[in-house]
Amino acid sequence: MGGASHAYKEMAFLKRLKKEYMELKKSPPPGVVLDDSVLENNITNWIIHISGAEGTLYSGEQFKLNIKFNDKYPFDSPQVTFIKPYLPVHPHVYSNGHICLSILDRDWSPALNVSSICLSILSMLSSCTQKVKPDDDSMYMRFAPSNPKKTTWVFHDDSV
Amino acid sequence: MAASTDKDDRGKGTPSMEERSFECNICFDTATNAVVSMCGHLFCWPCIHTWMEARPQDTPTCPVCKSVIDKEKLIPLYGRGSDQKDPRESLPPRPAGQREEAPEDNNNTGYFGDGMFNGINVSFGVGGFPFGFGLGPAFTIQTGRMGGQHHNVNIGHRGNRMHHGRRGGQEEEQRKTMARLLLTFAILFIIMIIFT
Repeated sequence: MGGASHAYKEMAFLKRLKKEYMELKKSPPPGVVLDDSVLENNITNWIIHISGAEGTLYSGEQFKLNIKFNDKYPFDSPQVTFIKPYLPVHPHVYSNGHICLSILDRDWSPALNVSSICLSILSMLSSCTQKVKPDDDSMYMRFAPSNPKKTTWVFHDDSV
Repeated sequence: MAASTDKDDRGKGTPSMEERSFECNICFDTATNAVVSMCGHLFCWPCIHTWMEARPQDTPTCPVCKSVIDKEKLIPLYGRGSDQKDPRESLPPRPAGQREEAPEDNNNTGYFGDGMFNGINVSFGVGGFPFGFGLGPAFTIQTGRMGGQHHNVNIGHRGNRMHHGRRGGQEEEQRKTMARLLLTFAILFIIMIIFT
C-alpha cells in the first residue's frame, strides 16, 4: 500500500516537472530562458537564465538561477539559488547566491511553479531602489548552510 | 509508467484553456477524485489532502488564494464516470457530499397513531414469545430471539425527516425523553432476563 502510494507520488512529481518543463520551454515569461543543456541528464536540477527588466537597476544584466527539486515537490518548495558569479547585488541576495524570499520558504504553496518563482525574483529585482548587499551578508557567509532551505529566514521587508 | 493512458497523451498536445480549467492546482493534471474548496479552487482529493497534512502545525490554507480551508468544507465533484479505479484509493476517502431531504408532508405517512409517540418503536422478543410496544418505527430493540441464549440489541434509527423536520422543539424533546426512557426500560428488562 505504502509502496504503491509512494510510487504514485513519485510519478506525479515527475509528471508535474515534465509539464512545467514543456510549458516553460514553450511560453516562458519575458526575461526568462530555460537552459536545458543540464536538464537532459537530471530533471530535478534546472538552470535558468534571467535578464533584468528594462528600465530597472538591473536592466541589461544577466543572472543564472539554479533550481533543485526534491521528491516532495510541489508540497515542499524547491531550493532556489543564484549561481556565482551571475548574481545580482541586491539587499535580499547573499554573496553565496541564497535568496531571502518568503515564497521560497514559509509562504510556499504547491500552486506556485518555476514560472511564478522566476517572476517573483524578477519582480524582487525590479522593485529594488538601491544596489546594496544585505546588511548581514558577511555574518551570513560565515554560518550559512549550503542549502538555503536549512536557513531560518526572517522576512521583514515587504517593499522589495 | 503503466498508468500513462490517454490523459498523458492529451498533455502532450496543447491543452485548450477549457481543458486546463479542469486541471488540479497542485499536480497540474486533469483533476481526479476532484474536490473544490469554498473559495472555488479545484484539486485532486489526494493532492489537497497531502497539502493539508504537509504542515500539520499550521491552519491549512488554499494553495491558490490562501483562504482557510477545511477538510469538512471541501465539496466533491461527481462527473459522469468519475468513479474509476486508480491507485489513489489507498488514500483516505474523499469527503462525502452532504444531502438534505426536502421536507415531506407528515399527513400521509401512515404511522400508527399521532402525536408524541409517533416515530418510536420498541419491541422485544424473549424466547419464542415476542411481545412489543408498537409506538411507531424509530427504535427497534430485539433481544434473545433464538431461545434466550444470545441477546443482541439492535437500535435502528430511522425516519430522517425528524431531524430536518417541522416538529416543534418541545415535541422533539419529549420524543427523545420517551425514547430514552423506553430504552432504559428495555435494557433493565434484558438484564433482568439474563440474571434470573
